[in-house]
Amino acid sequence: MNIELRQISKLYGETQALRKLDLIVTDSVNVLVLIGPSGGGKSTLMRLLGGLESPDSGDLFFNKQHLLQSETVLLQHRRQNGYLFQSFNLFPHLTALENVELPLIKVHGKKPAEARSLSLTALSRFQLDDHADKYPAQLSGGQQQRVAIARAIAIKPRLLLLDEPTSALDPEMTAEVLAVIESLTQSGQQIILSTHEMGFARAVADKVVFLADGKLIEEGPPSALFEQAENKQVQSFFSKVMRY
Amino acid sequence: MKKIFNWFLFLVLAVGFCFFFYVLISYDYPWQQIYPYRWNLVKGWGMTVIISVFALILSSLFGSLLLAGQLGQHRATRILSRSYVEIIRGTPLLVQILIIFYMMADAANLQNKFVIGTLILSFFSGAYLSEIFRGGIESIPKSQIESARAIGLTGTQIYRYVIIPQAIRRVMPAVTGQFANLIKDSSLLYVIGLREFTMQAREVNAATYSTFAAYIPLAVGYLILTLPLAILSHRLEKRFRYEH
Ligand SMILES: Nc1ncnc2c1ncn2[C@@H]1O[C@H](COP(=O)(O)OP(=O)(O)O)[C@@H](O)[C@H]1O
Ligand SMILES: [Mg+2]
Repeated sequence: MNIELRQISKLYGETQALRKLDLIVTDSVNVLVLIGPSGGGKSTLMRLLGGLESPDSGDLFFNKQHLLQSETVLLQHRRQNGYLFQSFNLFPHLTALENVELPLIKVHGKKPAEARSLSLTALSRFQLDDHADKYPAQLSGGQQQRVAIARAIAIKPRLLLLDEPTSALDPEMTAEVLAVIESLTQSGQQIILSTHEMGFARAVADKVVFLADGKLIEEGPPSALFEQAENKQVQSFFSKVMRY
Repeated sequence: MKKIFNWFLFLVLAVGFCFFFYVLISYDYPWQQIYPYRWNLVKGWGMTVIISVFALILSSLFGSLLLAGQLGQHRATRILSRSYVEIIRGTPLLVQILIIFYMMADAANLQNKFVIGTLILSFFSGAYLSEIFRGGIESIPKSQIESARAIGLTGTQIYRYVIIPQAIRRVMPAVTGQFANLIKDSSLLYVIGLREFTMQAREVNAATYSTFAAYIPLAVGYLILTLPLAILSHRLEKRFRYEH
């Protein structure tokens, strides 16, 4: 993926969620992982990269395209990406299958029959065949997240954004969803992931970015960041989260 | 303690009911007097049903319009719809009937009492329905809109495929309840001389020189309509609770 952020700032009322952030990601990076303390700005950065929101100032280029020209450009950008939130991704009034079909039909103009077969393939890929006709309320948290990933994948997104996809799950379900994400990275899917799962981050990332207080504190390949972080704040974060 | 209270409550209610029916039975109810007029009552009952059905359809349309006005972009229409809703909800139906019938209908040279009656009820009920609808739409969590934007739906599509279908499920119990209210409220239309159920009952009383003989059948006639609606409303509420 090719990303260039210049002096990006984002305010929520009084809170400065991002402060003049600069970030460059080159084509050699397939999996970008954002880590850092809660409130550091990971979700905000994801939302900007996913085209869900615009910054208050700064420039944002994705694959050399200036994203902040108009709402139309942002909508086009959103349509080519898959996006997964921590929870409540699915529409509760639609079955798992209908959830996957909806964007295929209404956004990507697929015929119902084609949408159905694409959806069933996507669900099947994550072992959800038996759950196609269930409503989200009838699924476990992990199954819900997997259906949401199936929905995001079914459109063949060029980029998949996963914002703390396992934070609301218990350990068993977390493992089940991480396995799915790992299989996606192996198949070459471009992914931006924010997570507190440090072991997983290290295993799948091509590049890791540490955000705190709305600023980019440190960045680099996982080996460098996890083993020999230069910044004190990053070191103390690791020593805290890795203690147990 | 709670158990004792429940039993006490049950006892009081049971005794109350028995007393009520005892009075009804022991009192020499003048059934023979009203029997010859039974078809008048049936006709009035039918008229009430027809008016209520028409008014429900019209008030749904009207309520949707008022909702659109309140959610819309234009300040003027927002203020106008909001004021309308507050004026209607803040004044008694009887007062509205008198004003609309004697002033406005006269000015507009509207003669048909059935049409005027239906319109008045629709204007009245539309204000309540728009509030019910608004509550339904505002009860849809923000996360749903976020998810819908993330899969690339446009603003209109978000309403059409995500918000409105969910809102409809949520407001169905309240709308059913409002329909029952509409049926009961239509009884006030006798003041403009519309020959609906209550009016017919009053005429039967007058014809038989009785003060209230036709009122028990009148109450039963309304219950036949409203009880099923009350049960339906409860069912819908329960079903909705299990779906989530
Ligand atoms: N919609 C919002 N309204 C107000 N404040 C927000 C909103 N979203 C994020 N923030 C604030 O912005 C800061 C960064 O938040 P976020 O990007 O969610 O961090 P992270 O995902 O790293 O936990 C936090 O202080 C948070 O409280
Ligand atoms: Mg977050």
